[in-house]
Amino acid sequence: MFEFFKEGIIQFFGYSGFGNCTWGHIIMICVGLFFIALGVIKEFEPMLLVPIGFGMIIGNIPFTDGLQIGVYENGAVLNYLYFGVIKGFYPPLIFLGIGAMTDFSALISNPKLILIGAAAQAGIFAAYMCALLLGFTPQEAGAIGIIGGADGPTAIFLSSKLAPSLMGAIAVSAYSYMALVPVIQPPIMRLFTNDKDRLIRMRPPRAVSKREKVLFPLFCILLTAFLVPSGLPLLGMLFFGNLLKECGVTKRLANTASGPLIDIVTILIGLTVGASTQATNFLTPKSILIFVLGAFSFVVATACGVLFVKFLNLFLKEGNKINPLIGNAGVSAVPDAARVSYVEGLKYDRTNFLLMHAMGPNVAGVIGSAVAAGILLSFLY
Amino acid sequence: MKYLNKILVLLVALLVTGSTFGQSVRDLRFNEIFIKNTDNFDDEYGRHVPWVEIFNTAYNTVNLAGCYLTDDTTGLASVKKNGIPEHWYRIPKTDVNTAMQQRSFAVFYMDAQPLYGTFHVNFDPRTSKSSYIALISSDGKDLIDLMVYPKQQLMDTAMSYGLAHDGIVEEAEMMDQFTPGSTNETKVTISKQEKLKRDDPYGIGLAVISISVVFVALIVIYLMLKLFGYATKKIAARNAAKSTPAEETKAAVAATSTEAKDDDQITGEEAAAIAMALHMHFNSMHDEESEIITIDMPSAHYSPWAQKELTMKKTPRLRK
Repeated sequence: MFEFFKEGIIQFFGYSGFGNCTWGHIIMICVGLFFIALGVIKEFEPMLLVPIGFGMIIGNIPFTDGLQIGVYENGAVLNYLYFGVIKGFYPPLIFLGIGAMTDFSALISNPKLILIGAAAQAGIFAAYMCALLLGFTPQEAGAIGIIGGADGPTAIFLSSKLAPSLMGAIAVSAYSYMALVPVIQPPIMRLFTNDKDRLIRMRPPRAVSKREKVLFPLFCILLTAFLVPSGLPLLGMLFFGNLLKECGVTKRLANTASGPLIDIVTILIGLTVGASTQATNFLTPKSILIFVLGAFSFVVATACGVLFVKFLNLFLKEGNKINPLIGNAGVSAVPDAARVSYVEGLKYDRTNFLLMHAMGPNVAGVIGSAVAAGILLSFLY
Repeated sequence: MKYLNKILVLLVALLVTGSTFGQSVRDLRFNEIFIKNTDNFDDEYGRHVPWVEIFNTAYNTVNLAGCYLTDDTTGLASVKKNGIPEHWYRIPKTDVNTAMQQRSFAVFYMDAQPLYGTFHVNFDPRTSKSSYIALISSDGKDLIDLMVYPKQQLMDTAMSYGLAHDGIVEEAEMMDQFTPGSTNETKVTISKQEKLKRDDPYGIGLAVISISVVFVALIVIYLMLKLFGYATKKIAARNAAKSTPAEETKAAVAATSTEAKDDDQITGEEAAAIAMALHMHFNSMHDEESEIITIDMPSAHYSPWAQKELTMKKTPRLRK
């Protein structure tokens, strides 16, 4: 009788999380807790870090294989939810919501700001080259490089096509750096600007008519999709969402896209991406390299944005100059990067409000990173 | 009304066309044909017979069911009058195997034994007078694909005739490798990625091209937005010129010229001030209650639920 109980308890222990736990699981659970802490205490992108952090905890609870509970096990509920990540249909839905939320007025009123969004994409290609040097394949390098675009959905979309095995590390890296925008960007912005640059006052943007706002998504989808058809899932949904918002006759659809729909998809994508970071798949030297390359691409993107503004200023008349502190917003972390520009601007001149100006390159960054993803896809897929 | 009729006719025509080419059967192509089959691919009965391979070039499933295979298209023009010619082989609609997955292959045995199964046609190229094979749509009117092959050469040698690259009809040639049910592209070629790695080991070329394309895309949008701005100003100026205010309001307009000029064009500062005011207004509003708990009776006692009159039965109506 005693033997039976003893065997039963040992068997139960073997099935429990304690029996299967490794140091990798504990480390990943700690990382998940750290993400949640960052989101809750520091309020760094809480909408992303809290689901990802919790997903990491879920994904790293040790269990016996074959019970159909893990994210990588066929038939598991988490596996079904993860399907949207693998097949890349969550990111376009998020882009639909982003389009329905985004006001492109700042860009329409001051079109030259769009060029900053192009310059900041240099980080993607710098990271691509470095990844090649470190021995990654061209597809893997392309997927890693897109972290520099500071766009989580785009990173997931591209990595699901080019390097599915690295998707967990790339997605977590992209979202982490997006959340850390207020920490990473300010020192780089200060490094490449002087006091005179930081005090530049920009001309207030002009009012934008409804006609312009409605025509903008239509023209943009035609121009960009014809140029880079492979970016169609992202660009198409982005501009479709924006048209729903701006045309004024589809308010309910726009509200759904920018509200419940994007919230649902954000929950699913955050949770499943977090859960995909199972220690056995995630804790590898490659993941560490991806994090390093991601940081590098982010730094290069920010620096290129700031330096490009300084370069543009060489050709602009006094009064039309652009404050280089909005150069960082060329990455597509909307609206965090623009908020960083605003906060930094206020530090040097309490009456210089850069938020609306920074939103221009910020939304241009969304377009730019989607175009860049399309180009990489057409070359590498 | 006439226009409405025309539109209806057009819609019906479109629907008919759509149903004829349901699931894009027009994407099907003859990919490979082999006649002198003495010792290679055999059918489900173990016989070595001529075969033809069809390739679905589409990226969706296409169902062959109902389409026709033939080595004689003479009935094509007169199908409306005389119906479907007897010598055409109609692919049965009841076999689920006729649904071709995206970019997949289907092999038909040309043994003139249609009773042997779905994939056995009713003609044999060895006895046929023609040197081509045709795929015809399910309504018998449209030629989907036609492959003309060097018959004598195929009958004399154990070589196949097909498309060097699957689905590319311009690249038809004699092939010493036969690949029924699989790709014809068996030659060892360097993949796009391998080529990229070989030609651009450090990624500089791709980086330069990509960043240039990103810039081009965004510069085009920039130019478009510039044009937008220019056109908007022009339209606004034209509208302003068109509207001539009434005499009695002219003085008032002159007095408030500054405000009138900017009526539809508010400045950034004004927009920011309005936004800030709205932000402060909405953030100061909340739905918190006063949090006062009391046992005192509320002063208003009135409630329709408490009214006796409403709870009383009405005078019953007598039935006659």
